[in-house]
Amino acid sequence: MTATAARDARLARPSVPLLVARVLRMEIRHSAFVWVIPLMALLFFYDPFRTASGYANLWTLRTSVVLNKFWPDCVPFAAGFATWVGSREGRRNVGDLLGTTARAAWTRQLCSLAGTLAWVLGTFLAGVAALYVATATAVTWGGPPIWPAVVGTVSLIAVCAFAFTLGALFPGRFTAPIVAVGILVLVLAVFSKAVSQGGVSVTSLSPDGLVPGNDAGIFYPVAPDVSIVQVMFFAGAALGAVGLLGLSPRTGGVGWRGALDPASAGGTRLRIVATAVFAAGVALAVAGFGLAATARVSSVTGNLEVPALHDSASDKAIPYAPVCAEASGGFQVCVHPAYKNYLSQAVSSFSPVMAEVSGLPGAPVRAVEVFAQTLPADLLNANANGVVAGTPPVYKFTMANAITLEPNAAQFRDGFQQDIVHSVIVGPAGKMVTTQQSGPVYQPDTGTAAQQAVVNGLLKAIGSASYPAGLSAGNPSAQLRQQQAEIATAATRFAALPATTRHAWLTANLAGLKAGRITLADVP
Amino acid sequence: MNIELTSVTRSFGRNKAVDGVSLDVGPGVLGILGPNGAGKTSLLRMLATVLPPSSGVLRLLDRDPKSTPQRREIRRRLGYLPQNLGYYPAFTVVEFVEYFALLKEVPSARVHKAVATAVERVDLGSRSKARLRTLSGGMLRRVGIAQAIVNNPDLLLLDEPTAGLDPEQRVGFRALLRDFGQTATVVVSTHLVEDVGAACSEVTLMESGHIVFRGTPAELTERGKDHGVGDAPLERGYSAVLQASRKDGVAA
Repeated sequence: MTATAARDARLARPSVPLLVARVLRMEIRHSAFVWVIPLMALLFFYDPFRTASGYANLWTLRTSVVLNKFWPDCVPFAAGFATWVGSREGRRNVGDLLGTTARAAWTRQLCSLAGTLAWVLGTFLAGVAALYVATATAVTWGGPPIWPAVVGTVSLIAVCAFAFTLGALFPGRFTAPIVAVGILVLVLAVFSKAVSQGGVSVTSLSPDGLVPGNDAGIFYPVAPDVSIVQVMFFAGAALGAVGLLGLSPRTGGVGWRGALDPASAGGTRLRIVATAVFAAGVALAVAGFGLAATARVSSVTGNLEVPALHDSASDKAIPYAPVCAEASGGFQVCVHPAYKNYLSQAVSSFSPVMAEVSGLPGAPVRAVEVFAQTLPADLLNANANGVVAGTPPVYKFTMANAITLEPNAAQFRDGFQQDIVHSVIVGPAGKMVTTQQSGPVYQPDTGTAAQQAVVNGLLKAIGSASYPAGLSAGNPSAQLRQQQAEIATAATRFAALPATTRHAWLTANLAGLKAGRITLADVP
Repeated sequence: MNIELTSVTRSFGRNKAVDGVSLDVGPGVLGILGPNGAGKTSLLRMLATVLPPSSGVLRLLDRDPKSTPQRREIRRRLGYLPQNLGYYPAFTVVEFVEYFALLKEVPSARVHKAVATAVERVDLGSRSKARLRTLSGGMLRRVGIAQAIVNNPDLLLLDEPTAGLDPEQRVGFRALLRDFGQTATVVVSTHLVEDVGAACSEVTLMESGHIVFRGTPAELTERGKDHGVGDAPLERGYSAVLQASRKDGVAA
């Protein structure tokens, strides 16, 4: 064969990449999704972006809106649009025309799907990028988590592939709205189930899940186990849908009547490939589903782990250098660098209380932020923020209550002060007790009447709220109401004393007060 | 022969749209005439490989359309304009024709030239950038013809191609058909006998799924010599053949 003949033969062969590129360019150029983008941008700004902006400046917390807010916002649009494009050949009555073309229907359908995905994913990733950039300018530690973007992308591909296939199989002008609403309901149902079950089960497959705790990804890395399972499941679903598209005689480009004829349904090789894609997709989705069922919460890291995928080596604590500042009297407050933005707020909370209790036996010499998971169970539920422990005593605290999604000014001011005053005057905030009725429960220790009066008196003196009352179901008895009134009177009386007098009295009487020998009448 | 049909039948439920048709067609322009429901469109759809025959043997361009690789080769060399042309309104004329050129696997290097040539041949060069939604019915028909001829087909199948075309365009289109008929097999299904007379070298008349006449337009005209129904000689021939076939009970 001469060089010229070889070149002619090469030129005579259609270039598949070029064909795909050109068809894809047309699909992208003529996509009607462009009309949806302004609406999605508006939705993005008022839902995920504003929500994230209100959250504390922490990477994992803020970027959780990618899957919890932005993803569910995108799903109905992506599903509806993909269905609309998938049903196009049926709606536009081009089945006969396209049925006479040499290229398999699967090729052009995958090009249409890819064109749809280009717009859907472009919009989604642009929103993710905007969120990440805004977060990067606000946080003080860490880097952008990649998994929310990966899971969101793969799951949107699955939603689009599934919806596109439905559109191709059941073309009609009402298919798109029905699929969009159906998938939205499915997502909401899965989400609500995930929330109600605490996110530990197969419902953890839903990208739209629980808001993570403040400390997620800060003291320990976030385990990618569940994200991997989600990617497996959704990638499997996407492959299954794409395989079904290739297998279905209905989408062979000839309409319903001639659907089952061999002349219309594509060649053996295409069927083998489509069957393999479909089988691989189903296998992957089933594997993901099965693995999700084994997910459990780690007692060490608080992460949702999948034992079969979990790498224990990744459970090591992330090393960090705490950032510290001094409150009044040289009281040192140290926090994780991720919480650096909130250090001054914490210091201003510790200063007045340390001025009251410093020097007293049991008063902490410094405060250190620790991983919430390392504090006693149910402590946070009892509205406490930490414990004073060790020799010399150190206040180990978490900001889990002070920052519940967004910083809580009242909790910042009162929470730490209540903890320290209670710890010095009464002791531990409570203890775990086992009851026959309900098993182990956390029982707060509010102390004796005199202790309560002194605690509330000190808190009142520094302008903090009273220590939260103990458990009292129903209406308090007349006797209890009278006792509470007496405690309040004593607390007011104690608060009115000069600071030096209060401190001197506490220095002299703290041992007796803690031992329960001081009565309400003894409180000055 | 580019088209070889042997006892081809196509049924839809109990209704036989095409009933035992045998036909050999070489290069040239073949017109298929017939009343509504005669089976013209079903026959054309079988020739276009979108509808397989219920029975009988069909060979196109010396290939068997039942075989996937051979069907693919046929489709590369096939042009088809369906009766009801579906289209994508947002596409421009050039994009729509290019879309089909790509799917018909026109060699990549030749796509642009092939598209430009096809668009020019249907006289839409000045509207090549216009979106399809902005075109008139006649122009859309011409776009349909352009996509059918973009791969320079060896087998061109046109179902009611002149519907919606104005007289001047019709004249141009007939010239196009004659031109293609020099080297390719062109099959035109139509109700308009004047198209057949002006453009076709051969004519076939279908009635109730059967072919009841095959010959030249002159021969069809000859059949209507002593027949009074119809304004034009070819129309009279058409009516005469149909009446004769009905009398002979072909439809039964």
